[in-house]
Amino acid sequence: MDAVSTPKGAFELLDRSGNVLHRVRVDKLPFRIGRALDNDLILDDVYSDAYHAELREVDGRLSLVDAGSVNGCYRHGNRQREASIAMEQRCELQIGHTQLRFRPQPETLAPAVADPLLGSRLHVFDGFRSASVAVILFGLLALLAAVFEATGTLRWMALAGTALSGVAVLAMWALIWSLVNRMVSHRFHYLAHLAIGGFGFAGSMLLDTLLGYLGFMFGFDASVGTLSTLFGTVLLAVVLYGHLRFVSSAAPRRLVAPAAAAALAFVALTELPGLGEDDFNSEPVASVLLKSPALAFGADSSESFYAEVDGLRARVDEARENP
Amino acid sequence: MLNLLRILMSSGALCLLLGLSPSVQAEEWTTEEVFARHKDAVVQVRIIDTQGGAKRSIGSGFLVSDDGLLITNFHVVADFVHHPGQYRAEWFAQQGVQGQLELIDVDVVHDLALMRGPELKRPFLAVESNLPNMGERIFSLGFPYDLGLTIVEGTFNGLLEKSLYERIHLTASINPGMSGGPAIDRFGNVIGVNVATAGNQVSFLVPSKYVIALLTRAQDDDKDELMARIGRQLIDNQQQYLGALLQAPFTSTDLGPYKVPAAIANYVNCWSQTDQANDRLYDHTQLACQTDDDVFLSESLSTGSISYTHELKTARDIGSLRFWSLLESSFDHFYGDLGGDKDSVTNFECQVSTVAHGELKRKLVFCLRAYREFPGLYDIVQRQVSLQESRSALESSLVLTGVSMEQGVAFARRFAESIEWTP
Repeated sequence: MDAVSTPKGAFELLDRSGNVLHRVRVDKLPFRIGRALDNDLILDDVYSDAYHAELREVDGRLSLVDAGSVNGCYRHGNRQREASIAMEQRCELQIGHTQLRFRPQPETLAPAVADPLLGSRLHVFDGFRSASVAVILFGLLALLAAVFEATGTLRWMALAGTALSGVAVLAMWALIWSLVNRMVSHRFHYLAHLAIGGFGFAGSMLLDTLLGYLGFMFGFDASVGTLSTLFGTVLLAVVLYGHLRFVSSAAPRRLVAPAAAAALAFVALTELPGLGEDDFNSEPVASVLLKSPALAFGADSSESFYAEVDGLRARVDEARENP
Repeated sequence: MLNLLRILMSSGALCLLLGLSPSVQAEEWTTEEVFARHKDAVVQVRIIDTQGGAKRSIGSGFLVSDDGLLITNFHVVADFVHHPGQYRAEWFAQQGVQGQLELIDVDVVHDLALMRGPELKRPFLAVESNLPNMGERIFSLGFPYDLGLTIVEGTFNGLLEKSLYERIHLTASINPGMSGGPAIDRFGNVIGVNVATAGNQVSFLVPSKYVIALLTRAQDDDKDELMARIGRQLIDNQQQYLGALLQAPFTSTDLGPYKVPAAIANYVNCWSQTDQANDRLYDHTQLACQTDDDVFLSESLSTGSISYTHELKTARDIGSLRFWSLLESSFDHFYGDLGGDKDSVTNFECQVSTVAHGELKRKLVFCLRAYREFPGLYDIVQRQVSLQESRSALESSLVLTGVSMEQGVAFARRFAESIEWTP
């Protein structure tokens, strides 16, 4: 055995998705491939011959030569059987049902990719402290919401149950993102996804409450729904961006558009069906905010309120004429 | 009355309608006589679905002239009025005699329709505009439940006192299918038209003076289209009662620290209720008022009514934040179904604002929808919540149906402004 042998290259055994299962360095020529145990690369594939092919130099060129196999050798994606395939560059092959990639030596490798998360401020989320703060914050807000929605005497166990079911949804949300993360980038940032989701959920509740109070104080009751959708979309995009940062290794800038698009698509899917229908309603529907009177700044006069009613008349008259 | 006679005498057929001759009054009829003499003048009115070929609704009607004029209720023929292409009207009599009916005119407010059957040559009834004495025997004829011509005996109990639309109170069993049939006094004259029942022998008639008015008007050369006529009747009607209500200040009552409009007219019926159940988070006193009658337009839509509710809510063991949060969430689903469908009314459009008037600051919501068939006619829903105390609030809602913009807004504004804060 040579003390230092210069490898000719390496074969990589691939799965159906193109992930490397196994890697074998080619240290000598000829390099034999087949099902038999004395091959250099042993295939576990009933469609390959015992001695299927071998890698050797033909006219000074590294080539894969078919050893008279039943099913032959192919370049990947090519249906043309070839007796000899030149191996000068990186190429993918098919032998039987096995996919292989050959990487010749020397090869030019791209420089290492910088880890977008390394040194990122996003790491603040990836820890027990952030996750627990987010979960507790969201849990408390959910509890508070349950208290305000209760129409009878407070039953704390029931309220806690409601709040906990909200937290359970959050936990599921984080789990789904973590699994996606695991599949895509082989990492499992459960705590980070929990923190991002928790702050996102809490943020959306705080946003609606804040809008409700501002709407009441400054009298824009009718616009609160639209504003809530608008800011909600932005918030959703930010949250999705946060999740994607942990999932994807792409450059941060390239994640902004997908996050925004996903948020818009989600809002469009939830809002559009409602916009499309012109359902008849025999009841009036008005968004009306009611808060403590101390917060009601300013007021219209009766005179000006009833003067504006003409605008309503114009609207219903138009609806009457254009059914 | 003079005016009526003048017009009636101009028409040979209608002159007989009043039947006021003293010789008739002298003789009192028995039930058998009423039935025997009038049975041929009362027919069944059927609204037939032209597609299906079978009846959609049935009622009764009676002849008022020798040239086939027939009176029935508007609500019996409403489907035919709204969708003349989809339905046709027919009369049916004993022994299977039948024929087509065409619409001449309606009095939608008093629920009357005047029809004509070209082949309807049968005896007709005399209409008497004077009311009988209290307790007098009255006979009502009609076809209850499609069971054949029936005579019902009852007693006259005067005009309803608390009613926006004049009605005779008859103590007799009037049943579905008898609508539009005549109510006959003991001298054999029509004094009213069967129209409604509250069950248990409490029944209502349209006074016959409106039949005479309708017959009289039908003589006029009225070129207006039918729907426009109905629209005008509705506009005139609301003009009359809202106008009268707006003449004087509203009668008000105290509800906690607030002064609110109460029974603003004798035909407005108010009920009140206090709920202090232990599991409630706030005490709750309600004052609900409404006109008990309205104008029938179609099966799904009635109009020409006023109703309003005041609710005083006072927090019990909860703080201001929770109290207002509860008010906010309960405010959304309170309006109730106002009836109508896509073809008869538009959707509501609403306007919300914080309004201060007098000492009282309130959240005011004004909603409006238009009637598709009747331009210038609207339904108004107005709600307000007082923004005065941190743990107590007055919620008031007002529903006006079938009003003009001018009258409706004037009334709604008066209503809102007459709610006062008087601690």
